[in-house]
Amino acid sequence: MFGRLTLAAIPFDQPIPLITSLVVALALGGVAIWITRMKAWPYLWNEYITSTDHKKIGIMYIVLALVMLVRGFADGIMMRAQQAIAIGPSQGYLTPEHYNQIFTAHGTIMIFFVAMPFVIGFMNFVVPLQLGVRDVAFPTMNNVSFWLSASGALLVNLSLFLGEFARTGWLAFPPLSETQFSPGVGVDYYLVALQVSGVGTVLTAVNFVTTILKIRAPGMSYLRMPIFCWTALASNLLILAAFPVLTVVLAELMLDRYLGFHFFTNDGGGNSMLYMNLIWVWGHPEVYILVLPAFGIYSEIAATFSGKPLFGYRSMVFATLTICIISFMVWLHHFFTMGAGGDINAVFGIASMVIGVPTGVKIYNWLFTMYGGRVRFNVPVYYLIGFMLTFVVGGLTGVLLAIPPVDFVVHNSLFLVAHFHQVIIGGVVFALMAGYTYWFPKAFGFTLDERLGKAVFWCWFIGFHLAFMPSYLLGFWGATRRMQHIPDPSWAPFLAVEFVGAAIIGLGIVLTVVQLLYSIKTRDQRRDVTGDPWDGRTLEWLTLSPPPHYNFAVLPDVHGEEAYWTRKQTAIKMDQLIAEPDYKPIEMPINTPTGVIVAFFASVCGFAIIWYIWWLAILGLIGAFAIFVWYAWRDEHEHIIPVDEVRANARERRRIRMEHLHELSQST
Amino acid sequence: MTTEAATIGLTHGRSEDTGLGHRGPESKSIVVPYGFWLFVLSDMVLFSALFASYGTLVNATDGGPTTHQLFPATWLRSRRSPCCCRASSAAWR
Repeated sequence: MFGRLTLAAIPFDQPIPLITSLVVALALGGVAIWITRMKAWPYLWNEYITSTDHKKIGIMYIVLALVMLVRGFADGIMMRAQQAIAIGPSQGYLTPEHYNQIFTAHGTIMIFFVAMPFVIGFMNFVVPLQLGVRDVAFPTMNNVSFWLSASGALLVNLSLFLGEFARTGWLAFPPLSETQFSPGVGVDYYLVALQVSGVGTVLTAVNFVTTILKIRAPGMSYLRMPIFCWTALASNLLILAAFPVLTVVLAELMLDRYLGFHFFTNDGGGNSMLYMNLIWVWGHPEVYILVLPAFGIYSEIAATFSGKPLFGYRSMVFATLTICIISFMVWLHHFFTMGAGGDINAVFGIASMVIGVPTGVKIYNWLFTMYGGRVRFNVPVYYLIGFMLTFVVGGLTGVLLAIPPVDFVVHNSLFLVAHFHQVIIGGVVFALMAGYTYWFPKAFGFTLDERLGKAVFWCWFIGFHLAFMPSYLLGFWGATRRMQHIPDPSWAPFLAVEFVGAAIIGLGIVLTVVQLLYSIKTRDQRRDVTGDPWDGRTLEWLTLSPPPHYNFAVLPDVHGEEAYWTRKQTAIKMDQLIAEPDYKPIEMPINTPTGVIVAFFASVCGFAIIWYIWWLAILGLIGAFAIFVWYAWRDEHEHIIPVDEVRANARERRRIRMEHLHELSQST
Repeated sequence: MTTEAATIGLTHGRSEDTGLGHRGPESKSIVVPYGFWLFVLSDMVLFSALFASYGTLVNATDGGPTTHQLFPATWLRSRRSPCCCRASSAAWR
């Protein structure tokens, strides 16, 4: 009846996951009670859960990412604590089985359910606004994509309470991940969760490539798009070309595990090297899927806070697309030691180093954007400078690793762990925190507290360096990654420093929450009245904060590379806004519960597949299919926002803008 | 789609040509097939990964018979010709 799901699945003998599950359950229950007492369920349902508004969906993605960041970080600091304790005779507080689950969960969660939703959240929120349009190409599909990602995240977290998670590392390499060596549900949780969220990610890519290539404001030609849109385009093209390979390779592993195939097994003609190749054909572009939008965020910040147009806009576009293409030609550098031969290793090693060239172009562009500018040292600029310092070192150690002989020495060592944390934290996480500060006022109408924001930055910056710099040395000395127990007592001081670093990052995460709560409490003192708090240059700052559902009453006409800046400067010079346009009613997509219901059935089906409850799996599939059919036969597609409402809102915005304009004109 | 809606922006007909190289959002009839074909593109990549797996493992039969031994070319041809005939005659009809 319930497949292999029995009461034994609940880890009664392991206090850590059990207590954590209880705490999480209590917290969720508390939030649910609070929402009920505030009578906020209808608001949540109408404004967020069923929303097809790209801004709301973007916010939901980022909330998901922040929540999962806490989970991923908890895994991280548990590993650091274990490594700081379990030295010499001490075995620490985590058994090897548990420790292996933790590092697997940490990697899987941080990449798939923190970095990805965070980046996709920004693309959702920002891209249509920057392109000067009202929504993405497929708003309902956008909602479905989000809920499928959330469904994947749910399945991964469920493994904490029911059963176990994979003990294989975040890419589940066979033969370890085959049934022979991992008979439990852990790898199945991993596979099913990634397949479900992967569907959402591919749909997101279809949505955004279509949006960016086909839906832009009049006059917004390709070479007038803000760099963040370019990087979002490149990133989504990479998703479109890379994620199907992940789907295939995980499906093949599922066939091995569920139906006794021999794709990657040790026996029966299986070939685990095929898995290495396929997973990294996806895995390397994945790095750029994350870091390219991060580069886009830095580009927006560099230009805005330096009060200058971005230096070398076209070279930035060219560099982005070059990285997009070369990122598909370097995957083998993840397994130089596999034995592909010297020539092949050399080709991939050189290709990997070549990626440093367009990346270097970008670094110089940001530096020259800041050079000679009136740089305002707000929180995002701290992250920008911190990024450039950190990322360049991470990039250089990457060039070092791209030399096959060097890689043979430090392969799978803590040197590698230090390298990729340096590029991902220094490159991606810093950008996400910067973007969070930068676009928060656009989303909610008030800015975040600057002092606490700077404190958070210093926590991340100092914490990161303490937590990972010693790893370079340890890696050189022969410390391999994923060690539950440290044999060499002379490494103890370094591991202690690393633990302190992780704790400082933890303080930063706590301060992020404090900053959010404090900023909400004092929001009346930090209102963004004009919709343009940073003296912005791109179209998202043209509309009010938060923007109306339809973003723009009339799609803006774009002139020149910096659509909003040109418009703003003309208005300041003339001391008047452009003539009031002829408003028309606006047609917007209606809300739909399709996404959340599909995700519910996907979660049920996924859970059933993991536990071999076949009748429930079929039921889940039928449910998901039925909701699609129901949706396809809907009668009502859009609702019309009447012209009076549009006009009233637009006039209010013009009034606010006029006041602001007079202040500006008087001050200059 | 209503005619008044066709004039008002996102995915509802083109706005005027501004002479700036881009005329605003494309119509639904352009956007929807475009998205569909992008999805098909991702499907092609999916199949390329399947073909790569096939190419790698085609002879990895652990000592068992290969595809060609199980299904000899003559056998395939004998099965294929009637199918082709039927298909082509169906096409003529």
